[in-house]
Amino acid sequence: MTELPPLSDDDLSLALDGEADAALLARIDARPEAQARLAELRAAQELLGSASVPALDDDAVDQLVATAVDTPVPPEHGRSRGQRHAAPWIVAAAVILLMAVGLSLVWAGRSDDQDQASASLTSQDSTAEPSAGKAAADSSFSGAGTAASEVDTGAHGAPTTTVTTVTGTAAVPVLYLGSYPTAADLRTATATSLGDAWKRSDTRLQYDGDDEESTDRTNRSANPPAQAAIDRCADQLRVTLSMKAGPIQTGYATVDGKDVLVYEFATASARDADRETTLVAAVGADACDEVVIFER
Amino acid sequence: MSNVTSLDDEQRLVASARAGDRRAIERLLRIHQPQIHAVCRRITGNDADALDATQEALIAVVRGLPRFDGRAKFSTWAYRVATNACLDELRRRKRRPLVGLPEQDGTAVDLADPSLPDPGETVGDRDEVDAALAQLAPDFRAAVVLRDICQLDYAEIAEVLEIPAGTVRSRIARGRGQLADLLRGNQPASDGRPTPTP
Repeated sequence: MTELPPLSDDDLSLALDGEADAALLARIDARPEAQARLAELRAAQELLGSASVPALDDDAVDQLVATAVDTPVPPEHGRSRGQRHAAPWIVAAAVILLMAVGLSLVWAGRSDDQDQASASLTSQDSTAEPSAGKAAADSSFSGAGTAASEVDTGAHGAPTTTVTTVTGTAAVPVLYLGSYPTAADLRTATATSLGDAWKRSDTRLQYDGDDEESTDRTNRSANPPAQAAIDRCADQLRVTLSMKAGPIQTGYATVDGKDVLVYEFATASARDADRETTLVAAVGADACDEVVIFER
Repeated sequence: MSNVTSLDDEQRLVASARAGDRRAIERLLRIHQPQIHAVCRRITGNDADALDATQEALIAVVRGLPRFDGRAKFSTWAYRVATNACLDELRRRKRRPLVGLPEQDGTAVDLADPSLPDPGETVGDRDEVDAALAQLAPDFRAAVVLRDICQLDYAEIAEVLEIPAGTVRSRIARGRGQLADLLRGNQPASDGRPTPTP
């Protein structure tokens, strides 16, 4: 007769919660040591349940409720605060970048030579930073297949299909980073930059000569989060992670079917305060709950 | 959690609160505040942090009301908000423990790493339960508190913590096991997650 494995706390906890089946209960009944352990778990549970938390006094409750009701809702504040802190050189750089991208769009749209546009894409895609040059590259793609004037560009000239500039924002594009089965996969994909994840996103717009198919694929991928959600979680993370400024890059993804917001903050290294680095924080879009947080 | 007379009453109250009725908001907060505070007290482990977390939770409830879609019970949603506020409070207390990371590999830092010292442990005069709870990893602690204090079932805890039900079961079992060992005066058995030195 084969001896059954010993009962674990998992098994006994099920019994404690009334979730054990008859076979498990029979095994527990047949083992004195399991019964003894179950009694310990039950005692701990009862002690925990009986150790009541003293209620707050009325004044404290009044104060808590009044503060909660009177605290202003922050979304607009977060955005305007970020804009006030934008350095003039950043604004100037953004304007120059916008002009450059705009010129490249016009050039691409007027070009009759698709090969030339494709060559431009290859060149830009291999060398440019993802948040700007990459957007220009994809815009070149769009321009090759459709009129440049039809491309809906965001603040950085990014097509709103794959690099979404959410309504109300004028500064930071929101990158679609793809869909991942686990948080670890998202972490791996964003280990170097959000742009890497965006590049690898399987829903990235890829021109294949069939505009309808490209558009369809893009529509399936694009489900940008609301600006209020982006601002809310950014504000919470700034407080929670003690960040001095708002995120320098923002993206969104799905992890195990859950909508996730991903932020990149510039910060000093936790190990070496003199070293500048970036902190990546991915949180649930609904509750801003942690999915994964890591420092590069 | 709720003291309102029926689910219908609560739904009406929530609807009024969502519409901006200040009195409805205040009543909703007063109804749910005791359990929110109890959860926060047990998860954070001391009065001061519990008060801060309760305040943050109530603020988050008010701010989140427009997004509450009624698919879950309001109490379950409020527990979720409260639990997140508590875990945030614990993270703030630990002051970004992002250390020891290999360069450029994007290694994650478990903010709930129980091997990190818990400043809350220095608070004196805690009762036996507080002292034992404080030694559990926060994610285990939250699961045990939601089950054994809030009496939520596995599915509700899964919804609150946004983790699979199987993970809930495992966290509750491990948390209870460690708690039982600690209350018995023993070091908890190793389960692959180190516990802090008392």
